Amino acid sequence: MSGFKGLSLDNKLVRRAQTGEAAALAAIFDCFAPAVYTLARRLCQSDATADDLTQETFVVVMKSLPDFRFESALATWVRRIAVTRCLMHLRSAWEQRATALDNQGELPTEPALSRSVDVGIDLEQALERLSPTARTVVWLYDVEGYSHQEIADLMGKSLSFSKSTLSRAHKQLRVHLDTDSQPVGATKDANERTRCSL
Amino acid sequence: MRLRLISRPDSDIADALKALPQLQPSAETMSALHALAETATPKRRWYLPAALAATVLLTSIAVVTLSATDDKPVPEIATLTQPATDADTLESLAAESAYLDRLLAALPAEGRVQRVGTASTITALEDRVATIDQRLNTSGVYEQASARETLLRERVGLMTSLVSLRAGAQPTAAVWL
Repeated sequence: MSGFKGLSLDNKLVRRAQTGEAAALAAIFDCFAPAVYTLARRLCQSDATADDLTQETFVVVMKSLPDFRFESALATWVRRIAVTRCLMHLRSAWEQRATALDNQGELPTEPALSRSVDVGIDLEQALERLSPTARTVVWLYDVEGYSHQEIADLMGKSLSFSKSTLSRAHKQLRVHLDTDSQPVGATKDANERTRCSL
Repeated sequence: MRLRLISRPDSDIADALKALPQLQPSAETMSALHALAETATPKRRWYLPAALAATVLLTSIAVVTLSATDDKPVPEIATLTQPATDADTLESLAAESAYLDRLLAALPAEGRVQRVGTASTITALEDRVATIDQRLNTSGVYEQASARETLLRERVGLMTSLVSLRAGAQPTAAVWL
């Protein structure tokens, strides 16, 4: 379940935070920090990066909170800021690594995959093996509940891009999670990923 | 979580992903967030200064009127309008603030590489402290004990957060705090 689902705060507390009351702001940070961190960690696969993105998200939240008009749930608003920060990070990282990823075909973990097939691969590891784009689409659609159109808009891509990326990502996850019946070679073939960028 | 989803529908994958545990940010990040919250500047309500100014004006008029019609000694306006602030409190706050300044200066300038988020939080704290220092040096504020006390209290709070964050980013934090 999305960490943001079910998170709600009293509007009075939010209004106090809007006036700059430190205790109210801290309460908002405490409430949403795990959800923001989890989102960032799942999308970016790095503890340090997720910590950074969590802090950056709340810097934006604090600066923008006076403009929050209660037209949506606060959780939705905070999540949108967090997703935007994550996508900005992924875009910048990918620009730096694009060439390397092109050359490697985005299969940097092949040796680990071969070793793991015999003992099984858990879902978190399978998620890590997806490309950043595929992982982002999967997480936003399956967990956060974004629509394909919303994902396409966020990533500056087409609707069909989101759908096809999700379909391929699901296929790859199934392959990764087939712990007993798939031979290594078959897994490798099916593991070919589509290089994407945001 | 070990799962076998090779022949399962997409909804099962989604359900499995949703069931992954929620993660917790590091203690350092939570400290940084609390420090960030402390940097918030409470919005001033426009009518408070206006009300204060009106009170001062009315008090002045009343004093002048009374002095013109009565032989009673006129109380000084300053004693009516300026709330009493303990000089010891101001001295204590100023000393604490100066101590935190020295503590911060004593921290090694080159610690380990800071996280971007922590660095931005530290910058926000430093900016706020700089703003307070500027206001403390503004003529008029210096003479108003209550205003100085408010600013000094805020400065001490910010400096405490700043020292904690800076020390937390050092490998030998325990030595410095």
